[in-house]
Amino acid sequence: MDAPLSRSTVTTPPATVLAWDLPTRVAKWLLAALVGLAFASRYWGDGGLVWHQWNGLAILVVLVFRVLWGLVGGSTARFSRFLRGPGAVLSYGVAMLRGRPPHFLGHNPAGGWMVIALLGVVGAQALTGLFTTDDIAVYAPLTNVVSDETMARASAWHQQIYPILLVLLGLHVAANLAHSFLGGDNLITAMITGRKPRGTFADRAPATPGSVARALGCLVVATAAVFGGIVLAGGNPFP
Amino acid sequence: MRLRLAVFAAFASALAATAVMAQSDIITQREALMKEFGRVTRPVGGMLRGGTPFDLAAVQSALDIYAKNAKALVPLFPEGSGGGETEALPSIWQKKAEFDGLLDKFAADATAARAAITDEASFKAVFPGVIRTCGTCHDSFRKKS
Repeated sequence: MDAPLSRSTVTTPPATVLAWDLPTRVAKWLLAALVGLAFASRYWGDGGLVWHQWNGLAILVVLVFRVLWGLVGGSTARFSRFLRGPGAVLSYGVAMLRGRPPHFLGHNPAGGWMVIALLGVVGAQALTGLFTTDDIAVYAPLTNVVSDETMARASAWHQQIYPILLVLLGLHVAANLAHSFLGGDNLITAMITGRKPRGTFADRAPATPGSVARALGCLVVATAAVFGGIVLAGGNPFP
Repeated sequence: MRLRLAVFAAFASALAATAVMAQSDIITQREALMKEFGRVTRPVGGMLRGGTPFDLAAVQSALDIYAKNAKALVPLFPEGSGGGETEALPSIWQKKAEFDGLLDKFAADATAARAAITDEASFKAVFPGVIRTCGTCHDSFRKKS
């Protein structure tokens, strides 16, 4: 009686496939929100920059989490899966110029390196922030363990990295908008829902998700690493 | 003739050396006063955020130093003292009145705050307004690192 129904359920493939597991998406949007908040708290936050310093610490935690998740997380989040050599990046670039770039379920070869660049520059900004002072009344968590010269240098870097980060963010947002609205591969929706329409992908599909329990474990390790690291270095992790 | 020239050259170079020395001397002096601002403000910053316990005497001595050093700084930026190893921007001498005005305001605010701050609540209400002038002045007149 119900045989035809069950057969049709079996033979109709789902219209979408998993591209990004939940922890990857949460970390991604959390990091984006925190970087935005760090900008807001710098210019419109409290005078003592307490809010801004908490932003920085939270960013560090998410960054460490994302690095751990890049080692043990879902398949599309793993560095070993999305980092490709210069040859692959070049041929992807050539295919793009010809107007027919292959679609990737995860990061494409160029996007993968943008992820590394963003993690690196945001990380450099967060780390130099730990040693930064406004030379008036604001002293970041690790300023008490370094010399005045180191503090001055870190403070200068904290200002110089900022425009580099803005340029990278601009490129990143522009590339995603272009892929999503001109390239027929809606990366923005995929990063929200975690799914992409079934299709032909150059990398392995569907993605294998990392478990939420493992993600929570990574989060605990990341939090302990950031706050414990500051304490071990002799700083005060609570601004 | 040659002797006279040599004597003249010796005098001229001695004069130039004195001028350079005087200039580096004046830069050292004003930097020392600025550094003292930083040294006394650092613990007060901890009190503002609540990390260090409130200490009225330390706040008052910081305010005294603000008023004293700010007044002492005004004559330490004469015309032509913008060369050499300094973080002072040329804009100081382009907008000298504005620059001196900020130092005067800082001294006056510190003196007023000395009278107004009697406890932790008045400290937290008044002190941030006093040191806001530091940032205003650094933004326009100090070399960006």
